[in-house]
Amino acid sequence: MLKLVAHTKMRFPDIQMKMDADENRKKSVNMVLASEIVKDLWRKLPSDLDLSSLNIIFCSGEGELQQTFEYFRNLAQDRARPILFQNSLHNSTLGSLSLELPGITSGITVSNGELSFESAVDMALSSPSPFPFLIVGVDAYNEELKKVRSHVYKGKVELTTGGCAAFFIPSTHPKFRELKGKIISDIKFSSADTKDVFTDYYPAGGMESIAKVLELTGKKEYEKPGHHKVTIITDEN
Amino acid sequence: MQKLAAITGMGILSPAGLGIEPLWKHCLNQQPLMLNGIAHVEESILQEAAASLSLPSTSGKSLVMSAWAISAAFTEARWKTFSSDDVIILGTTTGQISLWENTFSSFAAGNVLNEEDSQILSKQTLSSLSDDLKKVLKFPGRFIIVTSACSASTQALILGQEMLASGRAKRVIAGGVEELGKLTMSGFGCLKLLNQSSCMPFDQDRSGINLSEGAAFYSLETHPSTSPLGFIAGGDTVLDSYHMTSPNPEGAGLKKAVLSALERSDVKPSDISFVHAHGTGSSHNDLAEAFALRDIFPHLPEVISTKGVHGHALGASGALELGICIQTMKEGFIPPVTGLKTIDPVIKINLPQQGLKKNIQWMLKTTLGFGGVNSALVLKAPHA
Repeated sequence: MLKLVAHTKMRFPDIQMKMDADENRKKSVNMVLASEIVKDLWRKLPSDLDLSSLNIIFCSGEGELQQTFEYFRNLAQDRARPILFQNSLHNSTLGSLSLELPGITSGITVSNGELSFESAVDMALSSPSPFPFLIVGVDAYNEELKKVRSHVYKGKVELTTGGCAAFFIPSTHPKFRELKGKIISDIKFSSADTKDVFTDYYPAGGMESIAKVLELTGKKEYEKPGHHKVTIITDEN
Repeated sequence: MQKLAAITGMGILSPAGLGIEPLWKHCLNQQPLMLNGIAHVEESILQEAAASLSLPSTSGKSLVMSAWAISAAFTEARWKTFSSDDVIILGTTTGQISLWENTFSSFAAGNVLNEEDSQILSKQTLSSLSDDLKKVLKFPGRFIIVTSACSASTQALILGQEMLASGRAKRVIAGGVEELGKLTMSGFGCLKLLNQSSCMPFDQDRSGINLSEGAAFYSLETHPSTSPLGFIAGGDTVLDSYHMTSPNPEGAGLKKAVLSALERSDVKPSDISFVHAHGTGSSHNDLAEAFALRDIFPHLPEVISTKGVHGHALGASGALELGICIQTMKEGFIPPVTGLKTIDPVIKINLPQQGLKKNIQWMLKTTLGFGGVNSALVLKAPHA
């Protein structure tokens, strides 16, 4: 079981000013977004919480699409830039975050399309680790890439650059009973004949949907593009 | 308490061919598979794999390789059909890159996309591979894609064991796939990490890595109905928090990962009698790895790298090399470190330059990746 202690979300305008900061010179939008989201999440945590050992699961449906695009743009001009190549890896944001969070023990990157964040919750529920889980989901698009992707979604999805993060503690954590928060005991996946149009959407934004359904009484289900249905099982005891 | 995941099936597609046997033979004979520093999976191998699954010739390389390897693992485990409770965990870094990179490159260079191009670019997301595999394999269960650089498939295998141990899955197929594209080759080239001849792991004259490709998957279950090939006892990943591409010079993160993997597996360091290392042949990796292993295992178990034979299959490397680990335990024979001529004098681990017989009960597999990702996997022999 996982207890949701805190969560947060951001959009590109929230970090736009930070992109020009000197310390972010070599960072992708994903990296800056992830970094700022974690800072915001930290502000929402109880001050006496031990953050010296953490599991982190970084998720992105698209990965470092923008960096890959820039790498190819440079390559077309015979300028292969090492920084763009290393930043083009899906895992680079996890590497970047790890430099800012030295307490990370276990770390993994998952890129599972529309279900990236939800798969991270599945993975955290499977882990034997007694340490907290920081799950961060991020996707970034420039205008050119947004057009390409929107075409793939056939106009049923309005994409945004966004990120979300959540801090969970497992039931084996010493403060599990003491800290307040909703308890997730299971997550299930099924298919749905989705006809909805999704706005302000990014594939790794599962925490935003989870947060909404956790407030509901009764069935805690939601749908995602690609005919996915997610069911969150909670334990209110 | 140990919660073992039994390995009941193995599917390996490598530059040596289909199955573990050709790859194992190359390891025993110390025959590198690289040509001009790169080990490709030849077209004839892909065609044979695609034909056996009746896949269309337009199928992407990663799809063919992973579908074949998953099917082989499934068949060897004698599973009859996939169920909705099954989980496939796939590690990769670039997915179906050869299907889309030319179009993406053209788009990045300023060319306008047409309808067909947009369809091609839908393959860019890694989940397009899982979507395609679900259709080809008629797989109704959960699919997870792990993409933690070169540790990806090792992490997939660790996660598979965890899902079984926690009861969140009854059967898992875990492994990895990697195909080489222009992005990967030009990228590693511009980082000046490539070796134009065969790599020399742990050698004083090592000068870089060889890129390669392939797929390897394993059927994992807790209550097997067939004789297991071995067991995954546990594993862990620890981040260096040191540098984006270079490992911690003292191997600090790897050391923590190995110690945690041993603890989770309920195994003492002295129980480990063999280590299959990441051993890429890059200066930094081999030093970091050697320092960590020397500290943890003062009893000096044999440590090998087989990348001098098959190269570095990046996200698939851990899974590909697990096949060699299984074969080593089965045969009771440790192949030599191919490419190693003169051991780097700073490296104080036991690196066999000749093959040797050994009855292995417990062993360790390590992988390191960009982003400072260190993974360690503890394996138990079927006869132990």
